[in-house]
Amino acid sequence: MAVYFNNNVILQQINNKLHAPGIVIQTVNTLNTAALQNATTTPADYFTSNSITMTKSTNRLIIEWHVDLRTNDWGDGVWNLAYMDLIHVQSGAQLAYTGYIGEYTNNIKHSHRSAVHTPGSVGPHSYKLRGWSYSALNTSFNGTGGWVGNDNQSYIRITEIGA
Amino acid sequence: MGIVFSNTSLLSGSGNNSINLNNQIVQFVDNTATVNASATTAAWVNLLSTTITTSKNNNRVLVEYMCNHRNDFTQGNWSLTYHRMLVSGPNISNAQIMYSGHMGSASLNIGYYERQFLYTASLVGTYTFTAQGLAFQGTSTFGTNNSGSTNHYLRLYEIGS
Repeated sequence: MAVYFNNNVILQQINNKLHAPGIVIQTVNTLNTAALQNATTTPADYFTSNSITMTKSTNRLIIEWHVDLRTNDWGDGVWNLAYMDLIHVQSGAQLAYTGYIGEYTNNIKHSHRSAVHTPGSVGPHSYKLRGWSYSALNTSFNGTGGWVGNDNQSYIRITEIGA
Repeated sequence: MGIVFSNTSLLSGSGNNSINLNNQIVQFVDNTATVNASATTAAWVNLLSTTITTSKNNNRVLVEYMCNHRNDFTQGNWSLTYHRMLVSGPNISNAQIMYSGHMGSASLNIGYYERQFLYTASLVGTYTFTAQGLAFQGTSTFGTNNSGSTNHYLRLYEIGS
């Protein structure tokens, strides 16, 4: 069924979900508890989200991530840096790139940000994070014990917004 | 038309081709851009600006902001960067509504500032949110400048009331 408002906006049911402009249609959350260590300057796949099938091809997706990370103490007085990016798996498009993360000393950081993507089809769509190192030295994404020391909780959260 | 529920919540057509419902997102304005800027201690520098036209008095705007920064003042001294947000609208002009405080360390550093907060837009009208940056000492660079990062953002969500 559909309800038509006098500003020509339509509130309707599509695939058992309510749809209207601007509202949140659905959220797909992917929790990752694995760790990645990459000691190269080449991007390595970290983890991939569960897929989302959109209700309408013109809708937008907000892809949010959080990852704790550490360049494993290359020393004080040198750049200790990591990189991450977000890739749309189906097209290979890079949707966000962190650039350098770190300091001119040992440091432990995190990356938390999001990207907006309009893939143009209902999908399914999935997204992956990649991580790599500035100096071809050990860089950790997640990891208990002597690595990051976090709770091994990183995520990619996809939210569909109606158009 | 509107649909009135038994708890007096109202689902109604609203401005901007949207539907207003209490505590729901009425509209979403994305501004994702790759910032390239630098600032000294002398003056705040504009980084991102996003405009939204609200559809109902006292609706709230969820502001979501992220921009990278770098400060290489000197090793062993505070290398710090500041971020802030201004708003202008029907009844307000360049008011500061968010301030990061010191961001950095006593080492050369490259980082980012990411924050979400709510702003109540008291009147229906067009509101412009502007993010700015400043250095504590030396020069701070923002966005892709000296970090290589891309896709910085200042996004606005209108929340119904």
